[in-house]
Amino acid sequence: MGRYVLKRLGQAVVVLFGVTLFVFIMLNLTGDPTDFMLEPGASEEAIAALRERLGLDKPLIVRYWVFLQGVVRMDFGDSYYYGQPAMELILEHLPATMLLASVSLGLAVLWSIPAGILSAMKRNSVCDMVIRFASFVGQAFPTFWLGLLLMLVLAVWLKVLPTYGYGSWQHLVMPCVALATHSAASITRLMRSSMLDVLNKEYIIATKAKGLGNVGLIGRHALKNSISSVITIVGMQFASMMGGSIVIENVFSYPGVGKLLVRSIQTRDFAVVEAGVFVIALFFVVINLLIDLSYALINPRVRYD
Amino acid sequence: MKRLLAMSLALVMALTCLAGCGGADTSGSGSAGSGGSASTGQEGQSGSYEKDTLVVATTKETTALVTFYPGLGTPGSNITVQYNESLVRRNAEGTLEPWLATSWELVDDVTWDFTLRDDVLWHNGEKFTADDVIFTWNVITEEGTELSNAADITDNVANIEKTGEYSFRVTTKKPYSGLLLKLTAYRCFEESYFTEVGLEGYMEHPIGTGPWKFVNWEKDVEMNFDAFEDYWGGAPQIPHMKIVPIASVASRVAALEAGDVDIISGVPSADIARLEESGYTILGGPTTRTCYVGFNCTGEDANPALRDIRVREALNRAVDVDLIIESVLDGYGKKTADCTFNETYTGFRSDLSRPEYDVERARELLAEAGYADGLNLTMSYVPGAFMNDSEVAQVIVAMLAEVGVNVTLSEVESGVKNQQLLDDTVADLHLESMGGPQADGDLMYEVAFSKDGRYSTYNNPEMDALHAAAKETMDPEENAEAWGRLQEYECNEMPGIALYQVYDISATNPHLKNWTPRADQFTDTQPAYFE
Repeated sequence: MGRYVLKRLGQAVVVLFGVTLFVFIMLNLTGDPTDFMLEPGASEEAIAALRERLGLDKPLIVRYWVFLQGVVRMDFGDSYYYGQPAMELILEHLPATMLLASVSLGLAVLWSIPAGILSAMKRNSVCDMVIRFASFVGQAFPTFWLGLLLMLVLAVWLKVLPTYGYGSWQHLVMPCVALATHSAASITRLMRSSMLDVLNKEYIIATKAKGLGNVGLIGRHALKNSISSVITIVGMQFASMMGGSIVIENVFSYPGVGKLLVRSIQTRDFAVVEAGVFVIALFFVVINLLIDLSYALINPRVRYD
Repeated sequence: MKRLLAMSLALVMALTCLAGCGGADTSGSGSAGSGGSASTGQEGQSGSYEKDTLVVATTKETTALVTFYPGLGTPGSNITVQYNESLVRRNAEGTLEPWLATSWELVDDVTWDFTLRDDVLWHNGEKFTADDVIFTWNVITEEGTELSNAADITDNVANIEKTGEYSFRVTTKKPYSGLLLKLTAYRCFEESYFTEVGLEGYMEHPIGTGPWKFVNWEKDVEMNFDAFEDYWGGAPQIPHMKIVPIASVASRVAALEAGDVDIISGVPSADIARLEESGYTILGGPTTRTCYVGFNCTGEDANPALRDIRVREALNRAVDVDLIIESVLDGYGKKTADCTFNETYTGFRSDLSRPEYDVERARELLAEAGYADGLNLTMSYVPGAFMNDSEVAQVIVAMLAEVGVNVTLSEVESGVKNQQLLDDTVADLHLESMGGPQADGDLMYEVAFSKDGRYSTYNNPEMDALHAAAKETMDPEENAEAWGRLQEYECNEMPGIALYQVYDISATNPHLKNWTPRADQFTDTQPAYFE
């Protein structure tokens, strides 16, 4: 197991390297940040001076080499706009996004796993229909629209929750519910189909024949075998929420990494984009590894050597 | 079963730990009422409305707290303006007025003598004197300074020197009539504080002479200010102010209706009637922003038809700006005679007008120019640049179709569009808007149509000559006339489709009194109070 983890970490380094290189090239090909940084009437000399000060007049290779030297020290450079180290800026916004992602996913999982199991056990019953319909509707709602709707009802009409901001649990309720709805829909459906798959297997029928009750059946046998794909999707959703909740962050003015990243991309704030992408890629890599390791935990027959 | 229980308990515990950790950190550092719940107004016992924090919602977050720092733009400047004042400024309607500098005198074409107020204090108690003006000049002219946006000043000014405790002299490189407008961005550093904390310290905690003292900044969440008791113009009556960035239009309006904020700007015209009925105060009016459709006349791949003045006139005559203002903007807009001159600019002439809407004449002109069978053009715009821009773009396309001009409309990202403007590869028609605190005929013309303008897609040496002449005409009356001449030429030359002056609508808490929005879209809350 140890060797396996080491091998995976080695692969992770390669992935991160590749990602930062790709982003570096893409950013530099699509525009020069100095164009937006000065007032529109600025002279050519002023722009050239700025470009020189930021080191943007040097050839791409040289700039990449300088950049790489910084990366190994976790120094991505300073943000052109904020004047502070880019990684510091990303780390300032990270806790907010992590909170948003984990609570949303927590809510989603709390609903979906029981709902999915119930749906599978009582297949084609009214209960099942209702849960399936709820999933369908949940996936059909655009997230921002759901967010705005929640804001209208709970904040504007009933005035029980704040419309913007960060710092207390009240600020989390609406964004998390809006985000959780989509996730819950997919997780429920996956849980249901996974469970159905397993419930049809012969060993389940055999165990039932032996006299084991429903709870024991699901808990001891069916769940373990059907949970792997659900864990995979939950992990992936968490990782993508880390950088992808920009829409909800915009609607609720929530100070997350997503908004910062999109703004930095639009203004070509290289250092911040690189730092942000690196952090998100890191999340994906780590979560992937944890998911794979969890398979071994759940199913002792899975071995990593 | 036990293992399932153990695993799910572990999962739930882990998640709550994460949530709990996050919660503990933020509730410790978050200010009371981050999010609006602690700063809602209360109806006092006597029936008067009490609220100690004015909450202002802005449309964009700022990135730096120091004037002259690159990338600031209008949203950032609007923040620095709260605590750091400039030498001169524009009044609410957009005309220049004395501010920290009370008067100026032109000694000769390149020399200006300024006198300062003598009753101004900095937030740290020091007196504001000419020393601070000179100190700031030294900081921005330092070799390799990070304050690249000072280029606006340093490109035009040769030297600033002290002539007395409250007076100084500015020498420009060439005769430059636009100096005063550039000085509306000249916000000083306090010498002793800057020497103590450096630029970095200033970036973290800036001070100034303005009515509001900077308290703290939680990025993307809120920025807090306290009223400055010793402000020379009178301390604000409301003790605290909070500025929150809410980028989404719908969320901003919801925030006002929920009572979480007191002032919002950028209200869509569709919401105005509803807000008014609910009792919110609607204020609004002309800004320094003008919009127009630019013609790409310099790009190699652009359609050469645009170089024919008859085609340009036809395109102007095909667009019914009155109808656009009435139906798309609900009346909130003012037709302009040419592309870049707006009533808030120096030398504005109200007697000029754009070509009248006339579909027949437009068709005739196109036929004369050889396009009786129609014309195919491309058009691009950046969605969200100003209110209702998507709708306006689509309406223009439909109007042009009426005269046989087929336009392919495309949305483009602002960074990409700027790149296209730089190398003249932008679409034949491109929807533009320009405004902000520095907007004036000089800047607008230079950016839009001058040969040297980086984003210019036009080239007419005669028009450029008029522009250069106006810049160097120092006598105020002659200067206004010179700008008038440029306007008239531009009106007849039609380097773009003239559209309208953009209006910005603000809505406020009905209990907020004595607040008016400004043409340069800065927020001035010093005179406001709650009732």
